[in-house]
Amino acid sequence: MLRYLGRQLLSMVILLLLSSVLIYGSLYLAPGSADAVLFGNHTVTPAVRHAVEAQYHLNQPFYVQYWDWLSGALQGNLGTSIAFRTPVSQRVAAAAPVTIYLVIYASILITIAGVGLGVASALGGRRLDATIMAVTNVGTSVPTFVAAILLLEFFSLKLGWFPSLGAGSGFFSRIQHLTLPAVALALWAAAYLTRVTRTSMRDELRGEHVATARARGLRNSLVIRRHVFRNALLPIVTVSGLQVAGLIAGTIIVEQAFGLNGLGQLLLTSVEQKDYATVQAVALILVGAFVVVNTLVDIAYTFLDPRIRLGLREA
Amino acid sequence: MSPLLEVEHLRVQLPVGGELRSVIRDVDLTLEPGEVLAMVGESGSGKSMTARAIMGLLPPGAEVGGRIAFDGADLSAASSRQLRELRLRRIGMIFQDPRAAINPVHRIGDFLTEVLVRELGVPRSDAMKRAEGVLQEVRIRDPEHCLHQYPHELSGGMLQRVMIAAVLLSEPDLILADEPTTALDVTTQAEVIALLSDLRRARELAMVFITHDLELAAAISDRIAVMYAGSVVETVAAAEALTRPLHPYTEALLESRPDIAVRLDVIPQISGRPIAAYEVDAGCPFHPRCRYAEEQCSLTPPKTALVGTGLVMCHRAQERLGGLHISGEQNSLADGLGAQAG
Ligand SMILES: Nc1ncnc2c1ncn2[C@@H]1O[C@H](COP(=O)(O)OP(=O)(O)O)[C@@H](O)[C@H]1O
Ligand SMILES: [Mg+2]
Repeated sequence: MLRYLGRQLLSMVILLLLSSVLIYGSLYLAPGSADAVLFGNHTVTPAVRHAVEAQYHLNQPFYVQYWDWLSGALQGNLGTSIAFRTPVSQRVAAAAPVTIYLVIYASILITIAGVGLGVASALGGRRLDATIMAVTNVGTSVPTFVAAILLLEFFSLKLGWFPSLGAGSGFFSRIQHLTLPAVALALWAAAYLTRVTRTSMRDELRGEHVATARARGLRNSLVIRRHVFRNALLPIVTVSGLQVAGLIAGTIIVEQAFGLNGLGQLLLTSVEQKDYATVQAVALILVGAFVVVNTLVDIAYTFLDPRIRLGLREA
Repeated sequence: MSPLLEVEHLRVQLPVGGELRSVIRDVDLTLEPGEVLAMVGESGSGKSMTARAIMGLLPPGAEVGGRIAFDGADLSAASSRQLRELRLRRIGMIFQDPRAAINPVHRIGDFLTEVLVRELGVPRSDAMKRAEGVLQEVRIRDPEHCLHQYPHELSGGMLQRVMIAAVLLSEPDLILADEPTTALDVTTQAEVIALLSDLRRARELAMVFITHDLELAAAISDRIAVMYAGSVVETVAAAEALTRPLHPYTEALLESRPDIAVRLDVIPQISGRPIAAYEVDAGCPFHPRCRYAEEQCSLTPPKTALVGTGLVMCHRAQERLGGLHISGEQNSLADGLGAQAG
């Protein structure tokens, strides 16, 4: 058990390191050097150029720059934005809350709607099942940005139920502002999770251990909870985890559609402004979150399936 | 003494692709308290469905006709609450593959005690003590350790003992054992059979023992019901089934039993393929494969009648009782052996 956890954590650290090298390296090699951003069309004397390069460590070899950057990042120092001349960590800290709230909000929606509808579909009558399946069909065929536009158009502009722009301040205003973006973000994943939950529940319902539980006289609610849902959880958790990890990329689209100043928006504007330090930092955070969520899913497995816990089966 | 279990004219139809298909056709069974009845027949003959019908655990959409009475109470009139009560305290069921039948995600202790704790209000610590007791009774060496293990840590034989222990915990009057050893290896089979025999004798349990092995059936049971295509074709005292099979199908099963097959070094198949209950035509279900079939066998369904000491569903049972079949069978066996030697 502990060995399994150790292995999971070790592979997570290796994955994080690799992705940080890739992120740093790809921007290091990207066209449009930092000099061009710094100096624009000005001609500068070699002495000034040298001094500026030294300030931003541009004259060091790659691995030294990388190491400076990584060790700084680990201490919360994400470098200085060359374009704005402010610490990157400040800009990230300003943008992060919206994204975090959005992802949490969407994750809750995905889990509740996906698992709830999936269970209802598997256990309910034929008509309920057909209705839910029709809805998920629509849900999985609408891309996130289309969903965002449709939701804005209808609930915000036409009905005026929700504000169309901004993140709001204060708990309730925030919920109101983030509802449509979270729904847009959650729609596809919730529909998909509904299908996975339904299939998984149905497979378990057919299982012989369910017949045993009934044959022993266990009441239906207990049979469903302890022998159907509990066993169906493994694929449900896997898919939810992947979906939540996927949301981290999805926020980029949704933040833009709803004018939210989150990490996704920050990433896009920083790319446009060739603000490398910020791009690197945001990319590192997004990829890092993705890797961490995936590791958490793997660890959740451990608690769900005793066969994995004892190392008899690979996750 | 009134019978513990009475099954009369049981018919079961299951939905297959939008239509109902017969799987059980007019089955009659009785079982006295403490008696062991074996149900024997090829795969697909309807043994499991009969057991499930008794438990009230047929697949959704099943149509059931006839009467099933347990301890005098008609089960077709029972509410689902009463059926559950019956499963909780009076009828236990053991399945073929314990690895599929026991939920892999719960510990053995949780599996054994869940019904006691969650349905019968027994405190958890008491339930665990009782679980340890029954594990001892099914001859598991270290019961306390076993309670903490997960199903995948135990062998198939051990798991089947756990399943038997689970059934014993509810102290039933009747056990339905549906091919409880088919999924186990040979030595384990013998141990589990011996265990079941001992336990049911010690606890004076009635048992319906389902198997496709006629010899095993004869060894463990008092009476044997032979099933074919959803019907019981012969019900007879266990000893009689081996020495004087009256139905041609019973005779054919006897010839294909494993130890004779080993001696002959071939597995004598019953010629033709077994048919399903819904494929039965106007005549006797067995007539297409029957070496004694006459014209009437393909025209009218035989009635079940008392022939000698058994109930037999065969037009020619009475004349076969006259002694025709025994010499016939032994000749055919001798021929087989002779052919093998030469
Ligand atoms: N869920 C089901 N739906 C429809 N037919 C079924 C179902 N389960 C079993 N059957 C059919 O019912 C017949 C009897 O099956 P079963 O009682 O399991 O046979 P046995 O236990 O004697 O091998 C078989 O022909 C089988 O194909
Ligand atoms: Mg069967």
